[in-house]
Amino acid sequence: MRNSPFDHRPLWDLGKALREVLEAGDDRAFVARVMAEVRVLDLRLRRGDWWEVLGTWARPGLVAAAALVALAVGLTLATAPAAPVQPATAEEALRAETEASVLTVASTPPDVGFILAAFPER
Amino acid sequence: MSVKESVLATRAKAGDQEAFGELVERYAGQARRVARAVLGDPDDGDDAAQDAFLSALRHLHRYDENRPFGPWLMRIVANAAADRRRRRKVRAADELSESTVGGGPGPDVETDRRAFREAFREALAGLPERQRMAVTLFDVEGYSHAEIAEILGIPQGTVRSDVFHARRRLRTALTSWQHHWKEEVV
Repeated sequence: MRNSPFDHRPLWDLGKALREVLEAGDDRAFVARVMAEVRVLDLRLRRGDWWEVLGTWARPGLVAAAALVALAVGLTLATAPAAPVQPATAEEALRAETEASVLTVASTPPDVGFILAAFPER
Repeated sequence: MSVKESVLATRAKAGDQEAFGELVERYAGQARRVARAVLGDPDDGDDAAQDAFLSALRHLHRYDENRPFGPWLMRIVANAAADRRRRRKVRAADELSESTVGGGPGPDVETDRRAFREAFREALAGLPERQRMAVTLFDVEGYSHAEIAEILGIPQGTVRSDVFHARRRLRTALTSWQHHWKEEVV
């Protein structure tokens, strides 16, 4: 890499010319200006300390609360007993005890004989 | 990195304004030059440099005292200047045609120092932003390629290439004034 045109050392003349056009003048005035802002910022931070602290806690707090709520809902749903499905009509009750579930999707009405067969003969 | 700088940074972290002031004093010139290299305008440059120092103060807790303070701060300066430039978008310096690079008045037209500065400033303004930062950090501020890569968040090879191309274009502008320049510095 030593002979590469990209492997160079600082050029004093170019650096000097650049510095000359970039020099902004009196640094002391600039430093004073920055430090005045620093004091204002510091004062603001001191005044707002509590809000800063609360602010830093707000987001993790919300996330933790949301996670707890989600966990509680999940547990409730997982442990709750499933509600028994009550048959709504006599016909549904009959179907539930036979293999007639296919009738639920049939487009024709159920056969009367099928219904009667569900009752034992006496 | 001098030990004192790390001590100053530690004290500044603990809320010591005087220590932070010392760091501002040390890096004021550098920060202003780098910001000005990006923005062109000295007032904008100072505003960006000030933003950078205040941002550095707010984020001092992220600074690792085992590493040099300069590159850490210069990264903030470069970002602050680039942000400001993006916000304002239009600056006269950015609108300069690339044809002005290497051009400008020749030594036979104007030979005074002011004209030279103006021509060189235009040549600098005609460079892409990243090249301006790279060549300023390398040739003016003396940062290494590795440090500049860290500051600008780009690979070292890209820094080398940027410095090379920036120099080549600035050299053209400089050469036309070389005669005058030598008279000034010798």
